[in-house]
This record gives sequence, C-alpha cells and structure tokens, in this order.
Amino acid sequence: MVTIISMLLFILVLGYLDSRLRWPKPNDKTPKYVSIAERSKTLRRD
Amino acid sequence: MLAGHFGLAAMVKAREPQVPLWSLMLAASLLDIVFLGTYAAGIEGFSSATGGGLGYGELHIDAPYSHSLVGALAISLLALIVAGVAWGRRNGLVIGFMVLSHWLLDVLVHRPDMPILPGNAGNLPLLGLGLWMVPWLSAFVELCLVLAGAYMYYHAAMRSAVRAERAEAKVGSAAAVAGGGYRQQAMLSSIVMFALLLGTLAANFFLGG
Repeated sequence: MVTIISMLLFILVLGYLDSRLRWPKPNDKTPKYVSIAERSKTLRRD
Repeated sequence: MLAGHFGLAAMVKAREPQVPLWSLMLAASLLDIVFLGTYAAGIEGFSSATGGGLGYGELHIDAPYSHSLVGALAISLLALIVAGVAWGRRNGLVIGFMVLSHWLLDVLVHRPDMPILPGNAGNLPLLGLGLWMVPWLSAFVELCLVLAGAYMYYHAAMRSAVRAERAEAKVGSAAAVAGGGYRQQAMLSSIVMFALLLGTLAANFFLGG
C-alpha cells in the first residue's frame, strides 16, 4: 500500500508541481558547443 | 527499496533538467508497476523471507519476469524507444537508464531472489546482495540517496527559477516585477520533494511495503 500511494504522489502530485517550474523542455534545441578558439576567430575588432 | 529509487530520480532530474520529473519518477518505478500488474494477474508475488512479518527488508520477491535481468533490460529498452521517439535520443537514454537503475538498486538490497532469465529459465543462480538482511544499513543507503536527491533537486530548481526570473526581468514582464514567483514555486516543489522522500522512507521502514 505504501508503494502504490508513494508512486501516485511522486508521479502525479510532484510531477504536477515540478511541471510549473521553468525547466528547459525535452525537445528544446541545446546551443551547439563552440570552442573558445573557434569563437575568438569570429571576434571583430572596432 | 522505495524512496531510494525516487531519490535517484531526483538526482537525475538535477543533472538532466530537460527530462520531465513525472517521467523520471515513472521510469524509476516502472519495474514495480509491471510487478503490480503481474501480481494482480497471479503471475508474480511475494512472501516473508524471515517467516514472520512483511516489514522493511523482510520481503522475498517472487518476480521472475519483471525483476529478471533480461526482463528489466527489455522493459528499459522499450522505455528508451518510447521516450527516444518522443523526446530524442539523449532523453530516451536517460529514461532507459532510469528504468534499469531500479534493477541495479534492487540487486543491492534484495536477498538472492532475482533471476537472470525470465521465468528463471535454465535455473541459473539467483542474484541479490542481500543488504536488506541488515535493515539499518539498507535504510542508511536509502537515506543517503534521499538526502542527495533532495539537495540536488533544490539547487537545480532554484538555479532554473533565478535564470527564468532574470530572463523575464530583461523583457520587463509582470511576473518578474512581482518578483520571486518562480523561486517560490521552486521552493514549494523542493519542500514537497523532501517531505515525500523522507515520508516514503519512514513509512516503508516502519510500516513495510
């Protein structure tokens, strides 16, 4: 009984509370990693 | 083990914040959910390992399908594919790992009652390191998972909330002007997480499964 109740609480209640936070979404595109050396090549000087 | 599985899911959420928490919690308990189904169908079951009660660490689980190594791998693979199709390869791998982690943690605490092949085909040796035979030690391991999970989740949630508030402050939205809205929600989720983790561990320890 403890198992079933805790599963429901964790999945439904906590899942609902957590969904209201501003986490990134599963299908969000993560920024592609660009090395510092690569970035410095594209820097412009005034 | 019950709270320990959810504690590990909270830790994974902190490291992989893009995966919804409900899916991690569902994945962490998927083998037990399958077990509940097979138990209701009379295929699997449990009994007292000590000949006495069914308290914490006193269970002998007779789950030759849902908790066999190959069965757990198959369920993990299925979850990986479903999550991978919906959310991409990385998130699928996270969900697949989460499902399999249940079996790995169970091997740590179970008495030798977990078969390698479904139905214990071939009568291969049963697996289980038997940490449940020392209940206080098993509970201590679970407590470590619970505390680490709650701590990591709190920090990840607050970090995410602060980032969201900063982003909204830049565009001057009403939510940001109100101030602290996301942090309050993150605090509420963290408190509920901690209370549920600790409450589950205490209930499991004192009342059994």
